[in-house]
Amino acid sequence: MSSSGIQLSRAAFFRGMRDTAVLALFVVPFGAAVGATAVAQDLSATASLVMSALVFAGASQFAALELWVEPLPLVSIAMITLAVNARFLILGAALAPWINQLRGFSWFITCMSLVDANFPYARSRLREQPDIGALLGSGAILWLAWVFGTALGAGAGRLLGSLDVFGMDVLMGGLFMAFVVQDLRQSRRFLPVVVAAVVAVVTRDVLPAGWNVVLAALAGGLSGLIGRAHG
Amino acid sequence: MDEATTWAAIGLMALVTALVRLAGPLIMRYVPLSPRVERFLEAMSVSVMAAIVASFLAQNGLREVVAVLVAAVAMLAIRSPVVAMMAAMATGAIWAALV
Repeated sequence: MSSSGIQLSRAAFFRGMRDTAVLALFVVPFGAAVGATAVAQDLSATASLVMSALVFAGASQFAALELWVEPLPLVSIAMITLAVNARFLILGAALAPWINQLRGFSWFITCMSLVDANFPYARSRLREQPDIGALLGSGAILWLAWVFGTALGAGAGRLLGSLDVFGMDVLMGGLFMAFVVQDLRQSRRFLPVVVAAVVAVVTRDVLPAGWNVVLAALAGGLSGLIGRAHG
Repeated sequence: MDEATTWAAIGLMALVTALVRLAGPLIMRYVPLSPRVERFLEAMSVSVMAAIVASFLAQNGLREVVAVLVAAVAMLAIRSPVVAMMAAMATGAIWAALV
């Protein structure tokens, strides 16, 4: 993988935003769901907005909101957030060859732009063209959609009906499956995918929430070292 | 609900999440990038996506499996991840409406 000479251009930033626009559109209802859930748990609309703006991680926000009872269990909330978001460590490490060519604030804000939804896009775009604007742009539009969605949900108070009716709940699964298929088609390396899938499923009930994904990613990564080096 | 603890909780969540986002690249600063490390990172990055899909399917039913398979087929046919995603969502929506 080529990771030399990282650039940061406005063009890549705006292309990142444009390429991620449709996905961002679907993120809005998710944001609304978290905003409505937060308000239902007695957070103020402002607090809900600030949470989405600063945390920018939907799965952990939903998980933490389930614990939002009085008195607030601060340690449990922190731990569930850490557990569910632990996979961000993996995502960051995977993109590190590009991210670590940046310094200071650029490096920091790029790290903060990373979320599940733009990881596959950033990964494939950076291989074509090492311009970190792609990650920043896709992150920016997702963040805007997330915060906007949260505001809608917090303002509306309650969402009518389940998201299943619109197929929203399979959005992530479908998107990620597509990227896995894309990778398999290009690399023809099936072992890491099989290993990761098996480990994730088998350890799901024995590990705390989210850790099965981390373990599966590490196992899949290690299995990638088996066999001939590919060119 | 106590205002101060609410903001403390939100602050904690933000701090923990920020640290975890920074930790990946930070750790890799101290790990030299050899061909083996590159292969590990490449395999790990497809693995995390496969793990998320597998974990999702393991805690759901036939509808979700079918929807995700539709995404796979759509991706093979059309080569657009977002179109594949929408195909999965359409499948999920139709299934929820009819089944």
